[in-house]
Amino acid sequence: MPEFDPAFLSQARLGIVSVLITVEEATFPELKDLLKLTQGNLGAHLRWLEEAGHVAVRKEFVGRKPRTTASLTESGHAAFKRHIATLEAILKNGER
Amino acid sequence: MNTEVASNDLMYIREVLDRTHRSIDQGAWPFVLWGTIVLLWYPTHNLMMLNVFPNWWWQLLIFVSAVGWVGMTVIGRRMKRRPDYAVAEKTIVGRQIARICWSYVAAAILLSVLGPITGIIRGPQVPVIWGFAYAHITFGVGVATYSRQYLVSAAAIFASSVLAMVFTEFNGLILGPCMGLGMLVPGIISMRRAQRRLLTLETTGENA
Repeated sequence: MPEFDPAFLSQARLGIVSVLITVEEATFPELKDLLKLTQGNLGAHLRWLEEAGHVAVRKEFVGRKPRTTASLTESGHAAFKRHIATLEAILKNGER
Repeated sequence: MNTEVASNDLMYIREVLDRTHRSIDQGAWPFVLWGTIVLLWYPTHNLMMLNVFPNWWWQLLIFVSAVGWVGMTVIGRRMKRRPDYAVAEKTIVGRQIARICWSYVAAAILLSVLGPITGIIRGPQVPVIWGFAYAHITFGVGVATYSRQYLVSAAAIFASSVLAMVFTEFNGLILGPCMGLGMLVPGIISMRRAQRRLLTLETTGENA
């Protein structure tokens, strides 16, 4: 039985990691716009991924405006690759 | 998890990756800007040299360069404010494309200045250097984004550059339409595709 990382069982989190794998980092509005998520939804999922150690979240001020930037950690990168391999294995071997 | 869920998840990942990569289509605006400029500039320059104002070419060069770089700055600033475009600029493919473009532009500027000074390249051959530079830029973008329209344009610009090398006296009249339309058409196609995608996303209002 393949083991699934619970971080990727939500499509929103899967989307966040998919975006972060193609860019070095993305800001909160960029992710919100690209994934069409609400502010609260995105914030909650980002926290989830941060606590799991898959995503690093940086908060800073640019001028007077706060800016939140997210990037994929090495463990997040590896976990995402494992998850893709598991999904592909399921498709290859049929229903489990 | 069953095969249906796995398949849906993989499809969703592929779609998000594609959406992130495809947002670089909006970055085609310099093609539209410089395509329009070259389409008007090169034939005008050529006609001026052939007919009435052969000594005015450098005033035209300064004017056109100023219009181009002001356009790049103003439009660039406006685009950077859009979150979807900001992501496009950060993608690995987007950065590779920018490096390809700037390396050819830098090489063409260098050759345009040093070539006539050192005598390696004659002044009237300078537009041909830009023809080859544009052909390589368009080809590079086509390869990086898997876009056929850029590859076709690259072939047309390359062929016109060879032709312009042979018929130096008319090189502006040959290169202008080929380089101009060769940049303008794929640029407009890319930007319209990006616009359509944005509209689709807005109307479907997808959420996870």
